[in-house]
Amino acid sequence: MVTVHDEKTGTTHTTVKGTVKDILSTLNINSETVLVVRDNTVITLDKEVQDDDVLTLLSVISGG
Amino acid sequence: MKCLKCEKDAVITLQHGALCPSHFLTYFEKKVFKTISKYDLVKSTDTVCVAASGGKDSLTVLYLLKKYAEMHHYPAPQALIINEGIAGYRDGTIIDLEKFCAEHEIPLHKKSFKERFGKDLDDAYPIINSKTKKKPCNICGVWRRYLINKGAKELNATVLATGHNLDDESQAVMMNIMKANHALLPKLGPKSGNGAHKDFVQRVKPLYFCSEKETRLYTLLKKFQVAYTECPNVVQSYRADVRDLLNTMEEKYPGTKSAIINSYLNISQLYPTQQQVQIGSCAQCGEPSNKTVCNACELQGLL
Repeated sequence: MVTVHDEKTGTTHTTVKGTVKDILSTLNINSETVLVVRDNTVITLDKEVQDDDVLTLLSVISGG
Repeated sequence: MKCLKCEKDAVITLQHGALCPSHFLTYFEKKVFKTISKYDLVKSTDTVCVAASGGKDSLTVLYLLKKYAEMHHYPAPQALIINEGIAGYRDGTIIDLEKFCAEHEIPLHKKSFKERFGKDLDDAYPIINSKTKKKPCNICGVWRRYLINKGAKELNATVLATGHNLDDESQAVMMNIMKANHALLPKLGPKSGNGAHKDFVQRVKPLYFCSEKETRLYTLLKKFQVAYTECPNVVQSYRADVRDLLNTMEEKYPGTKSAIINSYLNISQLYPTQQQVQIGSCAQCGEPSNKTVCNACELQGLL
């Protein structure tokens, strides 16, 4: 399973492997609103994510 | 996905292709500098004040306006922050901004709602809301704009730069259209606020064509220390609903936000220029106003 930390909500999810785009879609997160980080590197939506990978979602929305 | 320029792993996919960190940083800075020069946002004779919050957008504007000034041997910008008095939000961003300004040797000036209007937003909101049903963003927006302009004037600034980005601006266009606020449309655009009143400081928006996602990536790659917090009041706002709507459209139809502001820029030529829409002064405070008493004084009068 893939572990996904959401920086904004402080929550952690687990989900099945797939592309970043698939994972965001599964978690019902709009890809326009986050940057996705794996191993301290920002990755694009087409990247394949494997079992045991850990992703961090950085919200791009700030301010008021 | 690989960078279209060098085949390294990309960190972002844009409409014209994907970019690696170093090519993205170059692309982003070039886009901002092109906006500044194309729309004549800053001249060699200008005194520039940046309305800063300590968030990602204002730190990026401060950093890039300073870099632009150094490249062209212009006077360095100054920063102005308004403390609205929103518990759990503004205090953290002020600390980030103080550190950033100290590190980059940028003068920082501060103003607050409490000092000018007598109360923090958290204390003023319930009183004003009980009489008018106004939401916190309605009050905050009026008082922030007022204090930013007043503060910039006191610094003798000829240009007031803000961190408004592509997302903010496309939202503003759609909000004004959906609420039929036609009178506000001419006030949008990368450069606004001059000519209507002698006391209005020219507003400029160097991040006008940069999305929120691009700006967050820029600050991340530049390792700026920013607390990525969202104002606790934003969930109550009309803007938040428009923001969610546009993000849904952008995800499904990439380029939607750019199309909105490009359409706006084309259509805006049909609106009267601000020089043609002259306004007067507030009878109470003397600041620019299109009414006898300005909105800021009117709200203060309810306290």
